[in-house]
Amino acid sequence: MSENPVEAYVRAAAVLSGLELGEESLKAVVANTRTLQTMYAEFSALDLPDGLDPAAVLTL
Amino acid sequence: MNAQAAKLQADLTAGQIAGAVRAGRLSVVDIAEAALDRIRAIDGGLNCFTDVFAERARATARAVDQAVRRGADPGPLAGVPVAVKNLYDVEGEVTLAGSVIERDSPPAKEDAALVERLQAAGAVLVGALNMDEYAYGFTTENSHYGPTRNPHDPARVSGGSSGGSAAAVAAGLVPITLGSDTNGSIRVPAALCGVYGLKPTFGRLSRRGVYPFVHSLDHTGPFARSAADLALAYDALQGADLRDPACALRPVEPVSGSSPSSPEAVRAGVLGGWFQDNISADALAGLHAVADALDARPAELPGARAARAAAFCLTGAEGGSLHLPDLIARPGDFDPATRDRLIAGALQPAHVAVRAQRVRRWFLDQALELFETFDVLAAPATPFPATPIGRATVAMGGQSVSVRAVMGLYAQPISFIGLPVLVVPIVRSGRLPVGVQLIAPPWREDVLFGLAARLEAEGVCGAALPSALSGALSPKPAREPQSHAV
Repeated sequence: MSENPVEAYVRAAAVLSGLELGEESLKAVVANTRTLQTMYAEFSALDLPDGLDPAAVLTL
Repeated sequence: MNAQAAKLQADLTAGQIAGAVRAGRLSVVDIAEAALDRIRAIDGGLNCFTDVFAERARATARAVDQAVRRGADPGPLAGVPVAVKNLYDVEGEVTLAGSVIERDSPPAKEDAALVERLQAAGAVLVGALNMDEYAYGFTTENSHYGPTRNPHDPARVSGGSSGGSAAAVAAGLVPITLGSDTNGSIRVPAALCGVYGLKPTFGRLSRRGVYPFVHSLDHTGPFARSAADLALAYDALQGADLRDPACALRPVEPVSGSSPSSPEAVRAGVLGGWFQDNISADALAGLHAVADALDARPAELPGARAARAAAFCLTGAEGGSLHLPDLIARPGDFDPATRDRLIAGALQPAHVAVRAQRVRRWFLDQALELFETFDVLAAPATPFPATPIGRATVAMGGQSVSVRAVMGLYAQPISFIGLPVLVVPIVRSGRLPVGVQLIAPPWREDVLFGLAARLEAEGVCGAALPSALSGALSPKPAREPQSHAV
């Protein structure tokens, strides 16, 4: 297992998903995962009200 | 006749073409041949088209001419040449979706719903248009089919992912095209190519027969060089479709022929905060031009930053999941940049996508509350005009950021909640185009068309053929149009 937690996550998740990543692809996927991690931080801290139904998102 | 018709058609609007055809003053066969001639003459330098359907176009044109001769109504788009992003199904053709993987798919058995509707309105389909691979990008620098060049400066990108659709209209190759918009893929190229683009309310237009990207975010919509042409196309495309589960059961609500909105009839806001952070002087000038014309007041939409981030993650999750079988089986057949973003998206934990959906519902509520004060909101379509082809990053906020990612900064939060948006091209003589998003509450596309007509009448917005192409409108000696597909 790599000491880098994001890389370790990507390796494990790839195995679970049936993906084989070459070294170059692994580097790029890790970089993209870091971007997603940053993005997630932007909205995970929002104090959302209770009862928001994710299934209702397409109802306009 | 062909050379004359070619010049005429490049200058004429779709409405003028249809009017002349309906009155028997122009032959649809001549118009179709002129469009094919012009594509042959000009598109080699732009790369808008990946396929040209010459025989289908001729057959359709003959049928419309026959309808006119026998006194039948040929439809509101009679004889108007149109083209569609190559993720729309066209009967008998392989739907590429910007990929090489889909070349191995069987030809489509029927036209996409919106292609059917254009043809039923009398339009003549002439070809399929370039795009980012699987619609995942904002520049149409397709590694398989080449970049689509911006008609206003061929050294620059056309925007994406519907870059071929925007550039073909901007260059006068056809008056109307169709694209798709998941995070900005109609609005970004419309702005960078200086044409009108409509991303309607989520569920307004059918997506049947359109290759998906992100099911819960995908929209379809038209491009045109005038507000009236965009309205003509939109009216022809509207209507429920029981074969598309996301298409709303709403009647056609026509917008063609509606009067320009009067200034006092519309309460306009101009979005600040996220929507003006990191904006270039060019894009800001365009926004100010619209805001001044609409007498808009400052408006704030809370949560836009979080909404954009949530849209970003959700796009990766849904898009990555969609393509996972090919990512496993044929990873070498993707553009590596597309592949590695899709893989990262697919590998996200499930709670990220669920959280993003909850943010989406919350953010929609913020927008609906703002629409209690305003009837329409204006926002820039992109942070800056078209960038040079091949430039991967730009400086923004003291950092080097990906062009592919940031072109959609201001578009993504709005499509995330399905609001209707009409991008208007700002009149900027001799300068690169910029566009402004006009945003309305759900199902109020009529408000947007009224305002676009008013801004156009006042000279604030409008689309002009690129001066650099005006000398190229006379067709070269005939040869059969060929597919540009590799």
